[in-house]
Amino acid sequence: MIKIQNQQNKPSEALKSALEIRGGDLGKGSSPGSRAKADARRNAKAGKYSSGSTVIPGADALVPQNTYCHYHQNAPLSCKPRVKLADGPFQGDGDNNQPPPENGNFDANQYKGGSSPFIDKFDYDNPNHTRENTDFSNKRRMNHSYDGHAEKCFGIKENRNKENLQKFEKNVRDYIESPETERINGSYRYETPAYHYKKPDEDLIVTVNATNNEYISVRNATDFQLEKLEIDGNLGYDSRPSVSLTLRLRGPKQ
Amino acid sequence: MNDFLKLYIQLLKYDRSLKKDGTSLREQDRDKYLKLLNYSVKLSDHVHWQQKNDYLNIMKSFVDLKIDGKQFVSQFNKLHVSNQEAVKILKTDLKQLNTFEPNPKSFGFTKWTSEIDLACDEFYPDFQPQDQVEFAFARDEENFRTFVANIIPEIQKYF
Repeated sequence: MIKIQNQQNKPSEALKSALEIRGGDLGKGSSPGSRAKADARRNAKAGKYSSGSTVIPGADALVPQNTYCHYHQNAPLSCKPRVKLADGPFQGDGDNNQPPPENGNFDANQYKGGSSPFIDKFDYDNPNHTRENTDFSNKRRMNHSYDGHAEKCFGIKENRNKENLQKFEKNVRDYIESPETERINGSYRYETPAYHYKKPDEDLIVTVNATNNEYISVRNATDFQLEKLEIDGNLGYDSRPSVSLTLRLRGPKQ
Repeated sequence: MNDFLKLYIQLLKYDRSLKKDGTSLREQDRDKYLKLLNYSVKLSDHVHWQQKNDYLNIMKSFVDLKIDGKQFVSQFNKLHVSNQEAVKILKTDLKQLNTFEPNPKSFGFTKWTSEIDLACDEFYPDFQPQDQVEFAFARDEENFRTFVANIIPEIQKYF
């Protein structure tokens, strides 16, 4: 068994493609996919040795991993000597293409701050992304946000219902659209460009995803978060959770 | 009185006087404003740090599966919000500030509590793997627990 790490939330495109090379090789519990099963059935009939999902005609013993890789340009990520599975435990300190962590989740000990990686690379001035057309349509997010922040941020103590949700949304909208409210172009957890709406001398912050103008959250920021926003334009550090994906190197069936 | 506290009070008074004139330290002098902000963080560090045992106990209870994610969020928020309230009062109360002695050992503490606070917001108790596309920043309980577990050693450094 070889364990590699992958970001749980958003695997990089390169990783995704590597993982999708053979549905039977990787991911989703690493059970053989239909194609691999069909291969195995066909080759068993033909008397060929099967290494599970990889059939190497003429082979008569367990195919070692390096040989397996040798035969397949599109071999799993773990087989590629040039693929570095991990560099540092954090991603996004100005370089959003870093590989995911190697040893499980982020290592808080190695946290590095820094300015938002999107500042010079992202167009924050998309004319469609105005304050007025901030997208609050995600009901589940709004429900979650209401439960966590309606009282703390706006003093709405009543239970969540349609009417109160509308009231909550209106409060957030009014805050964003207030002429006193400033927009800070930055990022959220170094992962996505974000607009942070904030009034001077207030700790209330509304964060909106700048890639689609979708509301992310409203919160009473801590002094630490306010300082980071002021200096780096970033809320939270990059602590994208990661999970272990297991590459099962299948040998002959027992 | 601690040197940084003297400076903090000076800057706070300066900011107040500017505000009376319709402007602010932020508009007039960004460097000084950032200093003021940084001192606020230090005050906040101390206030939260005084409750470090409570923070650690709640975190350990969650990591040791004694409480679930919802209970953790509830207990953590209660502690965090009450400390935040205390910070708010302290930051502007010159009388309290005059006798306040922040412990330098506490500096940096709220970096971690702030992260947990943010993660609490990202925790969806009913989160399913298929929700990932829609909720890029959401965490399920296991994920959330691991996140908290990783911060425990950082909190322990402040003991």
